[in-house]
Amino acid sequence: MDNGASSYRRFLDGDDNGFIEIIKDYKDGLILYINNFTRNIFTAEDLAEDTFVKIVTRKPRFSGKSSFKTWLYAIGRNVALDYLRRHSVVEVSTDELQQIREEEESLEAQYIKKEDNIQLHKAIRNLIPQYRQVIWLVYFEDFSNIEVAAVMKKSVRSVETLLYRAKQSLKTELNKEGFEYEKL
Amino acid sequence: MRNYKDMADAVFRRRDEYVASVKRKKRIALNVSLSLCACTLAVMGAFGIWKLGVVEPDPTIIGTKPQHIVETTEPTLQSLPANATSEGNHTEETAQLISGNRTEPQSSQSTQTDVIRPIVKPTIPFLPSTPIGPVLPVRPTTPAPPVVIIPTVTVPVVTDPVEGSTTEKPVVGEPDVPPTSGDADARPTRPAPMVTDPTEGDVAETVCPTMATDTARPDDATNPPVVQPTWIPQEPTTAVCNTYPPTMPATQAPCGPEQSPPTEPPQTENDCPPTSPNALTFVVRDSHGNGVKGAEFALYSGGYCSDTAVSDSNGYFTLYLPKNHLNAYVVQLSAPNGYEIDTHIVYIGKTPSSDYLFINPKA
Repeated sequence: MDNGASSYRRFLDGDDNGFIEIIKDYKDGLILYINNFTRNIFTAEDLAEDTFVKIVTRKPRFSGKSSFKTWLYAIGRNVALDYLRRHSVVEVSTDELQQIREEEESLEAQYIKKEDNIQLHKAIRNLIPQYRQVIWLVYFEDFSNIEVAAVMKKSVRSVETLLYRAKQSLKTELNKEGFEYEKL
Repeated sequence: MRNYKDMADAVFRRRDEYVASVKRKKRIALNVSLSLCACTLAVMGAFGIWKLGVVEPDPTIIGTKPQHIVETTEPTLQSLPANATSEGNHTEETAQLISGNRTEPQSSQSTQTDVIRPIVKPTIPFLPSTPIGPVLPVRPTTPAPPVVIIPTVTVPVVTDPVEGSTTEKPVVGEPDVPPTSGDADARPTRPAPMVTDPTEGDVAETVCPTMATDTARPDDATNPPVVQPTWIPQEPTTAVCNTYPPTMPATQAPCGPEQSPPTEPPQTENDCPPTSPNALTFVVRDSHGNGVKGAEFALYSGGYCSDTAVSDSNGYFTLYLPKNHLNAYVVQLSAPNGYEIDTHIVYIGKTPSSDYLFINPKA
């Protein structure tokens, strides 16, 4: 799989198929990442689409200082934060909440694929958004602390501290449910 | 959840919509900017035209008056003073009005005797202007075409010298304004003179030489004046003045003692009627103190002969100064047979006085 930079370069040269490849490769991971902010899989999907539209219309320059996935997730994070800034309170009905749970579990099974990671992902739903983001980026997207710091626009030291506190919180949650995750 | 193809289609559809909206916004902005530029240029053009004063408000509209039009006090013929219509001044001012050389109207009181002003030679030939007629009804608004203005020439005829009443016989035109004395310093120069030979004997019946003369006035009494009168023939039916031109004497007569003029100026015949009752009475005597009869004298003012007189049996004669005389002087034109002419020139100042005695010794 291309890391996305070459596809984006082809898109900038006028090949729309390059961006279709980007959507194909990074759509699910971006939705699940944005879902950590919105806690609504449908809203996260819409915000992911807005993220792609923003890149397509404005065609921002990718300098290559980080990976394309880090750059793309940083744009998605800004879009999600803008959405949350505009919609501080999102009312979700009970039926819609059930549907959201089903869609989210479907996407987890499609994207995570590993049963342990799926259980871990269900465990982080109860964490605060910042802990969910850093655990998702580190344990599900395989980002380094530097990349996480670039996406979350924090320093590496802050990311390390945030990651340590997120693990401690996740351990507590897993212990409550009788799981003991050896990687933590 | 949608698959990546559906999301890609939605992304590119929204991109197309976004590009179309941007193009539409650019087109609208371009139209608005062009409209603003056009309006700005129109406003600037209108302001510039207004500042340049190209567009004038309609003066026919009641209550509107152009601000940039300055009302001038350029005199017209109708607005000239009444005394400026005599002595041929009206022709000179008319010429100045037509030729545009006129500077300012001069009142009759402003010109004094000793002031010499340059005389602008008009381009229009003029007729003799003494005595003059009324102002021609020339419209001042007409352009200045090369029009030959023929003024009304009225020659006064003395009907009763004692009373001084005169009647005017219009020669050309219809006079409706009586002539008055005018500025003598504003006389135009004369065109090509028609000089008659002064030695001819029939000059006694010529008209009063009131036209311009190219006279070289002497500076003092030692230099007798060389009078070269200019003559313009007129109808013999006009009024007859005193004899002229003079026969200048070859020798200079000695100056005699001064003698005060008589209280009652004698009346002379064939006198040009004065335009102003500023009479000067002189006396001419021989070397023995007796009055000399038949001596002819002339009064010049502004280079023109304004009056002539012949001494009576007692030697008295009266000359009449014009109202605004300029550089007036009295010279003797001729002496009776057996007498020598007095070649002295008596200048008349601002305060005229006839305290000079002409001496014509016997030959």
